[in-house]
Amino acid sequence: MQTDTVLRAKGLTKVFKRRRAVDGLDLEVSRGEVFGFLGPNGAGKTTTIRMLLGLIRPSSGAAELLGHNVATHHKEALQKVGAVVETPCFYKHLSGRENLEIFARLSGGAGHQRIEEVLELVGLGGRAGDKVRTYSHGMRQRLGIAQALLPAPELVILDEPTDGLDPRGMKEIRDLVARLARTEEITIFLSSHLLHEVEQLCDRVAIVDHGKTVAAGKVEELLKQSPNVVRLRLEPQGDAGKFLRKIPGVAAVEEDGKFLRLRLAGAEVPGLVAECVTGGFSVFEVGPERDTLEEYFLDITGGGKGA
Amino acid sequence: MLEDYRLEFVKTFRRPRTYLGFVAVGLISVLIVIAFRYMDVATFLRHTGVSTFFTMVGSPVNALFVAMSVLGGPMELFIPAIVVLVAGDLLAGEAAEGTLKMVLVRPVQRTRVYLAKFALAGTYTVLIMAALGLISFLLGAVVFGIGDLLVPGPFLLINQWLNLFPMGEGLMRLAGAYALATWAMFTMAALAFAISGGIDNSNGAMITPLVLILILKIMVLFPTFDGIRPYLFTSHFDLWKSLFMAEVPWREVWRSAGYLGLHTVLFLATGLLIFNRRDILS
Repeated sequence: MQTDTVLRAKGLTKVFKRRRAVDGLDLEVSRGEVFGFLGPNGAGKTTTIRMLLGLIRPSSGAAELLGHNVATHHKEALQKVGAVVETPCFYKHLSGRENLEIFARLSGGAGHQRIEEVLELVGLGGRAGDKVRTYSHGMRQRLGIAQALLPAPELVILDEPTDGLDPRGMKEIRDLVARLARTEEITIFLSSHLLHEVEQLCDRVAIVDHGKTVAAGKVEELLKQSPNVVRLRLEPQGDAGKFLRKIPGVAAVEEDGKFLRLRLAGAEVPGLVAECVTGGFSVFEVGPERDTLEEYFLDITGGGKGA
Repeated sequence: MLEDYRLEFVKTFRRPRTYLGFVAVGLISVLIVIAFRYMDVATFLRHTGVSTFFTMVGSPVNALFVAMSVLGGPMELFIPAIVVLVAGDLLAGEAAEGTLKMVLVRPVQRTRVYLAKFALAGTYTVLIMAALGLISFLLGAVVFGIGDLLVPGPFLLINQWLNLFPMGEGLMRLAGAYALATWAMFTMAALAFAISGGIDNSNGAMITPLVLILILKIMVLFPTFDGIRPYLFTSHFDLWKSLFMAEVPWREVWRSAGYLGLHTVLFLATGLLIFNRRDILS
């Protein structure tokens, strides 16, 4: 079944005893996009992914993959889906290739050629005959992605794929994910708590906190919604704060060492600089403070300074 | 289904620790052969009360006697322990190692995974029992030779003094006894496996059934619990001994076998229900 929405969650909720881990979560991921699922640790990302994949039964709500309800049509829903949930785990006493042979049979019987293809794709061709117990964390992560690619998936779900990797390993995985999306045209659903990772890789994001979606949309659209904050360094510093607060269109001023952080509500930067110069201040530095997803994320999940 | 079973077979039998059970049954056979080799069997049998009315000349020990003897003591706890070490690890071990989540995000039905794994637990039980019988028989044959089967009743705690079966009949009875003992161990494997499907800790799945059978075995030592004794599945574990009675009480044998089979199905069905509904969190 061809459908433009490859992943859909409707009111997905999971209650563990008294703790509401996921609370009425709605998600929609379209074919061909790289979708970031962002949230601080403990926000409910992994629980959501486990519900999407049928590992956890939702307390209420429903999950659909490729147009099939995961609870009622589990096999059909997962037929063309590859997934790595948290750290990928393998049979350590078997080689990487033997592990893939097992998962290939569970994936509907991908052949030897496909196994070699995915091993080459993730750069493990040379070590495929070695036992998994000799693999580094990064290699296991890549083997996990290879396993996810076995059924020639239309959708790949990756849960914190760079977690625990060194910077080089992180880059390798990110490059691999970007390559999969670009050249293999696979829809990627990627959860992460690393904002720059999501910013680099994803077309759209959903930000979750305490099991709820707190924002969703294209990265640039979300950033546009974020309040305009600039960072200024003025001399003399003494009365600068008091002066700036009186300027119309400046909503708030915070002192941050030598710098002042201004939340603008209508004021524009050129006018602001002109006002400062007219007021007898020398402007040494001015620049946008809030141009990253990280600031926006911290703001809406309550992790920012201003929260 | 056959393919699922084959995968389970490869995963289990490529793991070195799977073979510990076979090493253990080999060792117990060696120990029993050594014990019989250096033991005055006539004195030993006198202690069991057999020789009160008989004068023992020579030794009744041969391959058949050894193969029968290794079923005696070890069936109480040793063989069940070996069986649950594997059966209890099949699902809980995979859950603890995180491979279960990798399997279950593939388009597979949990029921099929469950049944394929239990089929493997059953295969392992058969192989362990076969290894116990063959190793003890062969060691016994090498050290003592083969011959007729002498069954001292009190030695097996059956209510008969002494039965002597010609070698052919002895072998048939021995094979039947091993089959019944294996049937009893299926129940043990099913119990451990069912627990294994509900938890992420394989130690728990291995220890819980052993503690349970210990408690049940201790319970029936007290006359207070005489009333419930026939209803406990552990009370039927020694149905294999009936095969060494002069007249096999087939009615009782089938009743016990049926009772154990019922428990096997009950344990498996309960375990499947739990496994199908449980959240995979590890």
